[in-house]
Amino acid sequence: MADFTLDSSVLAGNAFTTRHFEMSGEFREIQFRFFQSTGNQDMEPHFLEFHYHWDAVAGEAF
Amino acid sequence: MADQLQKVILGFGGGLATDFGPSFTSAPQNGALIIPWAVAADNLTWELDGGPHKVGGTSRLNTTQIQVGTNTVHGFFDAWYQGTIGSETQKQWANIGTSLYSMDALDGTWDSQLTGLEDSKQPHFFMAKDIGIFSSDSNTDVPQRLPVGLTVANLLGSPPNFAFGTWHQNRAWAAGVASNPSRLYYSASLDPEDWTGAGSGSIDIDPEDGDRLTGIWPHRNELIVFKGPNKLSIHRITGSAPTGSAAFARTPFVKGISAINMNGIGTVGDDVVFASPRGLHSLAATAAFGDYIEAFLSRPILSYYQNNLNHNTLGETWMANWAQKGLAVWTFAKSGGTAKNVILVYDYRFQPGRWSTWGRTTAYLNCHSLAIMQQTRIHRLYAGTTTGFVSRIGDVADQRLDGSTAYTAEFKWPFLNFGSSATMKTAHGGWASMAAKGDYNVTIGWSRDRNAEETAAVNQGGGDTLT
Repeated sequence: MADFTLDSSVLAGNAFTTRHFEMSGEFREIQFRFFQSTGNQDMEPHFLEFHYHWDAVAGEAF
Repeated sequence: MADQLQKVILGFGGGLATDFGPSFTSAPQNGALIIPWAVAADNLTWELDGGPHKVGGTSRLNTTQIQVGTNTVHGFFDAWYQGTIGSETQKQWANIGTSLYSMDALDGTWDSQLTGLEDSKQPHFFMAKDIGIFSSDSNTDVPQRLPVGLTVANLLGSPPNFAFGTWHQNRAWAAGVASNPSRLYYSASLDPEDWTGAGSGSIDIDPEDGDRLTGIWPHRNELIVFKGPNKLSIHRITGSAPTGSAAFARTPFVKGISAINMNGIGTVGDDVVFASPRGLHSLAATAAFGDYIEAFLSRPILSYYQNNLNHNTLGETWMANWAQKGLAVWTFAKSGGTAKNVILVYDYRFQPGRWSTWGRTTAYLNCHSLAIMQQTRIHRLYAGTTTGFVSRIGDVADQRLDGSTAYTAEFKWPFLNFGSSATMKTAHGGWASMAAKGDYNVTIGWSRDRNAEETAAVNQGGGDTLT
């Protein structure tokens, strides 16, 4: 799915952007991290929408 | 069981907490899950909705390195001289290596004013009746008067050889005298250069109880007196004159908690905050709860404070209240070294306050000393380094260290199970909502159970209008 943004004339001129990234794989617990290592480059996330399938049989051991 | 696509908004609901555990188990409510703490929050500050924001860079105030002794900026101070002509004069003073330097209104040039001081002592500065006063915990160097005319000289009036002082009830108060470690001294009224005449005096605070005076701080018309660094106690000095109906009197306040040093104390709003051997504290919370650990400001990060800092250098911490940003900051050395390489940052705009760090996971500027100084009437945060520089830190638009070195902002949530660890889930995708920053990427990583972290580079540029 292509990226799209909620910004420009819709939300106060390039003030905000929402970007999609693909994920896959099973998990019982998941941990998210944001990082920005490049010099003179900023980072300011405000929320993350996460889509997942709730799909397996409960109670299975690892 | 049929697959069900779940959509959940993950929100930033808290600051760094190293002591709340590695996982948060809660089911989303109405499609949202506000996560109440972070397990990493390094080199960042907080937006008021909780969003982490990479902290600003640093830039050098003086471009020419000061090379004297250890080259370490032991401490520095923004001095405002009121004078009598209706406009103030701004000077800066710094104890670097073995010397004392002045600067004119942040012009970037340090001028040597006094040499031959003992190196690597803990300095302190305060203003008293339009005179800057410099002292240190040296047993040989004596307190110095720092007038607006820059003619540095020994403080007049036969003062004790104090390590630190403050202005309270129209007098200079001082302590940290090696030969009388529990004695609190005060000058004559309205004269910080009369320590023996009428109206001057001293008060002994539980002499020889295993502690010395470590800090004094005016607060709500009283002088708060801290003793440490072993047994720890706090005392209050009430009154406004040596004698009379409002005579100075000492009242014990609490035992078991106290400031470890003078430079780690600061005023935040209507409260006093300070560093102790046990953590970081608020006087108001201490008044309400004593040494009850739940009331420590540093409760969410207490194990980090107690286990990951070099406690041999705790007594050299500097605190600054960056009120313009709502941040109280302390600089410490991590375990295993003496360089002050981590700043603990308490954002008191939130209730309870939210913690982050600068330099904990990856390096930020090593900040040996801290002070707020006014640059064109804006209060900014500055740091003294061990390399002969003072740098503005935390809000420089160029997000590099002194214009050259990159640093990493990192935010990490605890593991999430969305209400059940027993139930297997399958990740489908993420949508990161961010302030648009430019046509460059931020990296988002995710770790599924014990798998290696996967990452995605996500562009932060503003884009086309949604159609």
